[in-house]
Amino acid sequence: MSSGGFSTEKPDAELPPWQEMLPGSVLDQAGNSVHRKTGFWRGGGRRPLLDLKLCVQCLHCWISCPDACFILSDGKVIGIDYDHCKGCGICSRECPPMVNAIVLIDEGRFR
Amino acid sequence: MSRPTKIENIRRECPLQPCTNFSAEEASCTAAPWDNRRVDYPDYLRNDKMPTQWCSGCGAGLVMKALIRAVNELQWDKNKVAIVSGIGCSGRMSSYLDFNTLHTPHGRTLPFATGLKLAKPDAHVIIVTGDGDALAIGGNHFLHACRRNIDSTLIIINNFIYGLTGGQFSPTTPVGSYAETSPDGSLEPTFDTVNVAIAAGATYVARSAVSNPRHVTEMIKGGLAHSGMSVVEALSNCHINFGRRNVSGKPEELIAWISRQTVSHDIARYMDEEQLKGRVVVGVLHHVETRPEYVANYYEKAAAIRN
Amino acid sequence: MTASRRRSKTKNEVRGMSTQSVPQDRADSDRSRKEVVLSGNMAVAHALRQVDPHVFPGYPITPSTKIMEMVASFIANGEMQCELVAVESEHSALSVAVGAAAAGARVASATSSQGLAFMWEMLYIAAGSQLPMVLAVGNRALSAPINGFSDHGEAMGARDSGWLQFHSESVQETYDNIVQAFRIGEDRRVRLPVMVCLDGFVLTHTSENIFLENDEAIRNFVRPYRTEYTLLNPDRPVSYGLGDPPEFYMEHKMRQQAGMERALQVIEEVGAEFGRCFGRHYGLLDPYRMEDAEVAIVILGSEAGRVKNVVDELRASGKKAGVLRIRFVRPFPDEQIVKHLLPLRAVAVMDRSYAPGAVGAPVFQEIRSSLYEYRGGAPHVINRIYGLGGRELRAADVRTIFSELDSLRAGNESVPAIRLVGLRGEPLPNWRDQQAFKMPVGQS
Repeated sequence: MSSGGFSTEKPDAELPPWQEMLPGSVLDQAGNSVHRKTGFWRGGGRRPLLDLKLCVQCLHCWISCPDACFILSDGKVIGIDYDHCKGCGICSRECPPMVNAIVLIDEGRFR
Repeated sequence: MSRPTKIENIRRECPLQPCTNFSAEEASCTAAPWDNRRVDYPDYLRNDKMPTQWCSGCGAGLVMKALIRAVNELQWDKNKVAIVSGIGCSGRMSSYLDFNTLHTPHGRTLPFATGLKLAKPDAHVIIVTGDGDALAIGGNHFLHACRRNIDSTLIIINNFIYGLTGGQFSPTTPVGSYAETSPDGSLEPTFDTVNVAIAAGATYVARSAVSNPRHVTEMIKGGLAHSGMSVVEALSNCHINFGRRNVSGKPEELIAWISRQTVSHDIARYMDEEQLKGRVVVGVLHHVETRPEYVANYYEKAAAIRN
Repeated sequence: MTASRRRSKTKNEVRGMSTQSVPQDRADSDRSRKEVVLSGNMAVAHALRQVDPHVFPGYPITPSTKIMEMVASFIANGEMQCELVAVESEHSALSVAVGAAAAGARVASATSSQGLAFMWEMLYIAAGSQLPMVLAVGNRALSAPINGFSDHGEAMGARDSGWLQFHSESVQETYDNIVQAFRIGEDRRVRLPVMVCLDGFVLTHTSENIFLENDEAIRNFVRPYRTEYTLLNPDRPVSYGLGDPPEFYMEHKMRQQAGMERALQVIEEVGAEFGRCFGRHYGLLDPYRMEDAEVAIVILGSEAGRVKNVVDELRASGKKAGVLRIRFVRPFPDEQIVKHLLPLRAVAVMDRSYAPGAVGAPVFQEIRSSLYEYRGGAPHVINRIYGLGGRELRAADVRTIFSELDSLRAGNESVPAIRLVGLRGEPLPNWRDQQAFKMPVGQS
């Protein structure tokens, strides 16, 4: 077992001892970047807030998000994954001006 | 292709004929009747190191003499000239020439030369490398030195093979040639040194061949006089490791083979693609003064910041 | 071919390699082996031909160019199926090797001196990714000043890169080491790259009579290559070369260390199996007349032959001298070395490398620190640095070292602890003389 990325933010007791790790820092699992939470990058920036009442489900935000943070259910956007959202604001810009369902709020107001 | 007047003059002095009848006199340049200036070679050589360790008939000696003649004609102070050489047969030249010389690891000539030139902007930096040194192990440095356009002259002695290590194919070994590492004929396409240098940003790019030593002298002289990165590719003969397996083990026959393939830039422009097939164009193939020279630019900027 | 005839050959021939224990029936029944005259480079190339790795990336460098050339000609003659990649530099050569090994190929290459130095970055990548491969290193001194001749400088520089490191005494041993290196490095317990060192020119270019084993026998010995984690395996996709956070890096280094430690056992197992198959037995060390020795020289590589000659002379005159040749610098067989050295009174460690500013050369440092636990009972240990840049080690030099050991044994404190053998001019007066250097070691 290898980490497959940077900090896992796990306590030492949950991490494997060296004997259980694969040699040569080989990684044999796929798709584990989901465990690497990059949402803290948003720290000094902005957090997008999605108003589902205004949303027309055009999925522009979903297709243009560089970090695949828009959570879909039955083909509809139902929320934002703040563990991985870096607060770039592309979604807010891509949301059609007539709809304007995503607003950017200063992250500091949430902390 | 721009052709500045300076180069026109050189050409008038030295009309290059496609050399089909090779004569032995042409290889030994001092005897050539058209070599009007007398050169005291011992003045420029470390005579205790003579004779050279190059194989008899090696083209590297011809290039070394051409370099001496070029420096002599420009009347440069020996103490102002720095020769940087790498590893390979060409690398020995720094031991023989009585200038300031720097012998560097394989492929690292250009970074050493860059440091040298930046520390001593007054020095005339001349880099002597082989095809393997400049284009294979030092290929990346070659691109970036051309990109920066540092005032120095890079002489690539292209003998189509790694000579010193005993004949392994190099980035300029013609496709299908036999070498120690290609007993069935080399498969790899070659570098077109001149076009790579032009694309990377060198401002004076010339090609010559040791079959016409006077022409090598003129090409090197043009490069030395030019301010900016000058690349002079000198096609040379390694009859021991390249010729023996491919053309001929005799130096004069290999030089004649090189000579048969070369065609002057003057003549080449009247030839169509079909006629140029398999021919190598020699002459000044690129000469521009439009790009800023790095070292002068650097010191100008540094002075501006200090003030 | 009988053992007695073999012993009458050149100094570097089999003498040090326990041929006395060759089971004669085994050696004589094997008619398919050939006795041939080969240089070290050619022997390496023949070993590679018989093993036939999948990929051989290479870049020419004196003195090991011939290996690459011969591999090329074997491939051209259809004797090998290997892919030769003639790259543009050593850095690329080892990069190709790492890529090919990660894809599951068996890889070999060869280099020397500056070439190994230029591979540096990739040495650590190969070892850290635990990719087995075999690299023949024709030892040659490092620049500057540029020098084409043999010393162990570049190999000693790479000793902490995570590679296993063989040092061969003779052409025969080089050939055998290459064959064993594949088995040792590829063993599941080890899984590390292996460097097989042969002294430049002394071994690479000097021809010796050697036994070239049967191709089939070598192939059977080496076995087909099997890896567990390879790229391009859709059933089990893996990634190599990932970023490792602080909470994992140390554990991965421990995996490497575990491979190194288990290698000690694997080397002995493979050496014993090699002996059973081909009649030449190898261990971690090659002790020569060490049974009742009182003074000894510890040495690596080809010059061991010369020291063995001198030991024979001294033994004939009644002096109890011995030679301990170390075959492996990594993993360093400290316990085994200590076992041999503890009964002695004085030891000279002969290094063919130099560590400016350090307390002696690398092998000396390791042996002294191995003996620290036994201070009180440990012998005097001195360091003799010889043969740098191809400087010849003469028999007279070795005799001088033995006489220095004798005088050290007799309590003479003026014997310098570290000395460059054959150096012209007086050494620096303040350069680590015996007084400045006095350690608990050797004070019983």
